[in-house]
Amino acid sequence: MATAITVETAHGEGQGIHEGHGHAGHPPPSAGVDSRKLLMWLFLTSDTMFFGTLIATYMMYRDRSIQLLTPPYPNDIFDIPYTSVSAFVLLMSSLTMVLALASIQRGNYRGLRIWLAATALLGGIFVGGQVFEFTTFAHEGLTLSSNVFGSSFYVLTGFHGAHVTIGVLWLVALLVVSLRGGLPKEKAMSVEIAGLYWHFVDIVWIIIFTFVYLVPYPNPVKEATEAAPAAFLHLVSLGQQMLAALPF
Amino acid sequence: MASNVAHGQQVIGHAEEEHTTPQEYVRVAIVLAIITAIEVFIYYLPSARPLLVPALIILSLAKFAAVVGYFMHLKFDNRLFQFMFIAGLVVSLSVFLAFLAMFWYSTSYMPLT
Amino acid sequence: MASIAQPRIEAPVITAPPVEGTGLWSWLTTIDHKRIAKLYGVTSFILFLVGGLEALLIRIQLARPQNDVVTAQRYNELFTMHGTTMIFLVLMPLTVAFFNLLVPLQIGARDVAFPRLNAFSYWTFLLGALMLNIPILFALPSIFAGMAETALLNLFGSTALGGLQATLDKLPFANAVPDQGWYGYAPLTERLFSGHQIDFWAFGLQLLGIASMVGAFNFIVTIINMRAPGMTMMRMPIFCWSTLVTAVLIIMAFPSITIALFFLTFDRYGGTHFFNAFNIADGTLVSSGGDPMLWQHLFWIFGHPEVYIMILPAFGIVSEIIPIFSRKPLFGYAVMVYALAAIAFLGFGVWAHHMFTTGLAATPVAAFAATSMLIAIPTGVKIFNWTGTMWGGSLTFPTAMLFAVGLVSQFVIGGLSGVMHAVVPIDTHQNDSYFVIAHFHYVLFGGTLFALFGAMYFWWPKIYGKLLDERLGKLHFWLTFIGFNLTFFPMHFLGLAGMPRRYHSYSFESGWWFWNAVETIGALIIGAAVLVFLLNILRTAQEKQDVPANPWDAATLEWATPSPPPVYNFRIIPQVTHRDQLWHDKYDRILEAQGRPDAAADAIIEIDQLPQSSPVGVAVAEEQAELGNIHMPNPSFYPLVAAIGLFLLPVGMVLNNPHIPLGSFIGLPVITAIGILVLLTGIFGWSFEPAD
Ligand code: HEM
Ligand SMILES: [Cu+2]
Repeated sequence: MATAITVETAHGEGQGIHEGHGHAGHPPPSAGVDSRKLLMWLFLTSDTMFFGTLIATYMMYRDRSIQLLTPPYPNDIFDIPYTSVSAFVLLMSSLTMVLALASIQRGNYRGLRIWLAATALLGGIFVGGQVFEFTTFAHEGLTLSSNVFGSSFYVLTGFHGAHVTIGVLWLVALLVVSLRGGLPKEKAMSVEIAGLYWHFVDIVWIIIFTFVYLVPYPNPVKEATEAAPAAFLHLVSLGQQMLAALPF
Repeated sequence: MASNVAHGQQVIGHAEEEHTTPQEYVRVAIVLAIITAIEVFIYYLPSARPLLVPALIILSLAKFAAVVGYFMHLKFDNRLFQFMFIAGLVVSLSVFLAFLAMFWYSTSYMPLT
Repeated sequence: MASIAQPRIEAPVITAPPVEGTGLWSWLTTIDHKRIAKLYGVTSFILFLVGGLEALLIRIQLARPQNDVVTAQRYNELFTMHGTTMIFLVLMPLTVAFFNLLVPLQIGARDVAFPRLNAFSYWTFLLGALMLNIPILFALPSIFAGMAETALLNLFGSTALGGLQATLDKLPFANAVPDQGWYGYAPLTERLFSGHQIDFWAFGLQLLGIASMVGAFNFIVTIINMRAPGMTMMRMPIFCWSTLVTAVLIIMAFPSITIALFFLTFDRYGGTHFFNAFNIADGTLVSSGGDPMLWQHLFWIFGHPEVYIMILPAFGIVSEIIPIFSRKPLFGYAVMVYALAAIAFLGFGVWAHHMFTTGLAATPVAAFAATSMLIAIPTGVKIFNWTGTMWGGSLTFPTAMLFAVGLVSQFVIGGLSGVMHAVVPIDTHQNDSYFVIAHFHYVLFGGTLFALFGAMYFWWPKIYGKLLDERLGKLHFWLTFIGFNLTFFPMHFLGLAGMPRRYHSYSFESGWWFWNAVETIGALIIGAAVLVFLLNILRTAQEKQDVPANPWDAATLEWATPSPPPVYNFRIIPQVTHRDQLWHDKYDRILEAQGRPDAAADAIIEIDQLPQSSPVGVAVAEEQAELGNIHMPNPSFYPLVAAIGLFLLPVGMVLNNPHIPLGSFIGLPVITAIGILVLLTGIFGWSFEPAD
C-alpha cells in the first residue's frame, strides 16, 4: 500500500479536479493545504499505529527469551558500535534530504540532484548495513524461529528496512525525473512529500535504536533460571486460586 | 506550489513563509549527532547505569522532536498537520502503553531490569 | 460569482458537458464516485445474500435439538464465513457505498480528492472478497447436496442422491473453508492446528484492510480539502462528519490487525513464534515464549474501533433522515459532532472488555469496565438528540423514516446489553454465550443494517432516479422488524440460560429447544423480508419514473442536483451560507426576498430552471458555457491492474500448498511473480498516465 501512495503523491493525482485549471467554480482547497501533503501526513499518522504495534510487540517480548532461557540473547548478538554508525548514517540522510528540499525551493537544481543522490546513497548504505547485520546475526544463531526475540526483532527491523528501501526507490525516481528536467521549482511539493516520508522513517529508527539496541538487557542469571519455571508455576497457581474463588 | 499561486489559489504552505536556512538545518543535524554520541557514550559508562534508561528515553525523544519539528517542518506548518500528527501519536502511545502495562504487570513475565 | 453582476460573454457558446461512457469497459475504468458507489453497493448486496444464506443454514441446523443438517465442521465454517462476510463484506462496504455516493455531493464537490485511488479501493475490496469466498463457494454445493440427501432419505427412504455429497466434497477448496471464527483466535490459526483455510481468511482480510485504509485516506482528504466555498466544518452535513470520524477510526485501527495478520503469516510460513507458545523441537514440545494473548490484544485494539466503524456511518444516516421527516433541523448539531469525536476517541480505550474472562489482572479489568461504561454516555447523547429532533416535529413515516426510528429503538436495546457486558461479574456469566450474540445483533443488525435499509429507501432516487415502492417498503420494514426481534430477542434468554455460542448442536434436556425453534422461524421471516425488498427493487427497475431533484424536500446539497446527478455533479460549485442550505434557500429566502425578486437568483435549486431570457439568464448562459469547460479526470485502467497485481501475490501463496496438485510449482514461483509484474505495471502506468 505504501507503494501505491508513494506513486500517487509523487505524481500528483488529486490535483486534476480542483487545481491547475483555473476555471471559475473550482474552489481552492478548503483547508488551504495541498491535498497530497495532507494525504502524506495522514499516512504517517496511521503509520504511527503500524510501528506502534510492531514496537509494542517487541517491547512485550523484550526479555522473555532471557527469562525462558531460550538463546541466543540480545547481549550476545547486538553490536552497538556497528549499529550506532548505521543510526548515524540514517540521521545524516535526513539532513541531506532537507538540503535537497531547500535547494529545489530556491531553484538550485544542481544542489537538488546532489542532495537527492546523497540521501539515496546514505539510505542505501543503511539498508546494506542492515542486510549485513542480519546475515551476521543469522550466522551467530539468531533466526526468525530461534525464539521470540528473533521473531520480533527481525520482523520489526525488517519492516522498517522495507520502508527505507521504498524510500530509496522513491528518491531515485525523483532523481531520474529531475535529471530529465521534470522537476522544476514549482514541483517542490513532490520533494517535500518524499522528504516527510523519509524523515518519518528516520524518527522510527531513532526510537528503534534506543529501545531495541541501547536500553540494556539483563543477562540470563541464576534467578532467571529459576524464574522461568516459576513464572509458569505462578500462572498455574493463579488459575487455581481463581477456580477456588468461584462460588460454584 | 507555484502553479497554485498562478491560478490565484491560496495554498498555505511554506512558500509564503520564511524558509529555514540550510545553515539552520546543519545546526540541527549537529545537535542530533551530538545527542546520538551522548547516547552511545552513556551506554558504555558504568556510572551512568542507574539513570541510563530515563536518560536514553529523554534523549531519543529530543531527537524525535527535533526531526519532526525542524526537518519535517511541523513546528512551522499548518495547525491541521500539527493537530493530526500529535493526536495520532497520543492515541498510539496511550494504547500501546496500556497494552504493555497489561503484559508486564498482569502476568509474571515482568521485565528483569 | 461576481460574474452574475456583469456578464462578459456576448454570444454564449454552449459546448457539450462531460458525459459518461457506457459499456463494460467504462465500468472497469470508471473513477466516478457515483459509479464506484454503485459498484460497492451492488457487490456488497450480493454478498449480503450470501451471508444471509449462511445465517439461514446456521439457524436451520439449530432449529431443533441434536439436529444434524450440517456437520460440526461445516457448522464452524458457516458461522465463520457468516460473521466475516457480514462485517467486512457487507456492513463496511455498504457504508462505503454511501460515503462514495454522498460525500462529494454533500460537500459540493465534483468528485473525491483522489479518484483513481478510489477505484483502486473498490477493486482491491472486490478481490479481497473473492479471496475470502472462494472456498465457501466450492463448499456450498456439497452442503446442499448433503441436505438434499438427508431429506430424500427421511421423507421417501430414497437414496437416489447417495454419494453426491461425497463427490462434491472433492471439489478443490471445498475442504479449505475458514473455520476458526471471525476473530481468528490464536493458536487455532497456527500451522499446528489448522490447514490452509486460514490463508484464505488472513490474506482476504489483508486485502480488505488495504482497501479500507486507502479509501479512508481518500475520504479524509476529500472532506477536509474539497468542501465548497462557505461550507465550514460546522456547516457540514452530519453524515460527512460521521464519515470523517469513521475514516479516522479506520486509519488508526486497521494497522493493528494488519500487523497482527502479518505476524500470523510469519508464524505460519516464517517459523516465528508470535502467537504460538510451543515449538516442536526433535519431536517434543518445548516452550517458545510466544503468547496467544498477543493476538487477542492486537485483534481487539482493532476490533472495538471496528464496531464503531460500522455503527457511526449508521448514526450519520439516521441523523440525516430523521430531521427531514420531522420537518425540523437536527437537534443539537454541535453536540452530535462532539459526541462522534468522543466515541471515536474513547473507542480506542475499551478493547480489553472483550477479554474480561482471559485472566487479566484486577486493575486493567476495572479500568476497561469503567471506560466501557463511559462510552455509553456520548452514545446516549445521540439517542437523546434524535428524540429531541422528533419532539414537536410534524412527523411522517415513509419507509426510510421507519427504518431510522427502528434503529433508534433497537440500538437502545443493544446499547443496554453492551453496558451489561461492561459490568465484569455479569459479563463473566454472559461471555461466549448467546447473550453476546443478542447484543451485537441488536447493534449491528438493529443498528447498522436498519440504517442502511433506510438509506437505500431515502437515497434510491439519487442513485437510480427512481423511488422505491412505499407499500412494499412498509411490508419490508415490518417483516424485518418482527423477524429480527423474534430471532434475536430470545437469544438473551438462551444466553442467560447458559447456551454457549458456536456449538453445533444441543441436547433436548438443556431446555433450549423452544426459543431456538422460535428463532429459526424469525430468521425465515427475515429471509422473506429480504425477498420482499428484492421484489421491490425489481419492480421499481421496470417502472418509468420522473423523480424531481428533491423528492423529500430535504436540506443538504445532494438534493440540489438532478436525480440522478450528472457526472460532474454540480454545474456551478455552490456557495454555502447555511447548514441546512436548501431549506434556507427555499424557506428563509422566500421570507427574506419579499420585494426583492432577484434574490432567488442565488438560490442553488432554482438556477437550473432559470429561463435564458431572465435577467440572470445571461449569467446562467455564461455558466453554461463553462459546462463545456468542466473538466473531469479521465477514466483509468491502472487502478484495476494494480489491484489485480496485489491480489495475485497472496493467490500464489495460497496455491503454494501440498494439497493442491502442482500447487508448489505454479504457486509461489509463477503466480506471485506474475503478480509482482502486474502490480509494477499498474503502478508504472498509473504514475505516467496524466491525471486528467
Ligand atoms: C454502548 C456501548 C457498548 C458497550 C459498553 C459494549 C460492550 C461490549 C462488551 C463488553 C462485549 C464483550 C462481551 C463478551 O464477549 O463477553 C461486546 C461485544 C460485542 N460488541 Fe459491544 N458494546 C457497545 C456497543 C457496541 C456497538 C455500537 C457495536 C457495533 C456496532 C458493538 C458490537 C459488538 C460485537 C460485534 C461484539 C462481539 C464480538 C465477539 O465476541 O464476536 N458493541 N460489547
Ligand atoms: Cu467492544
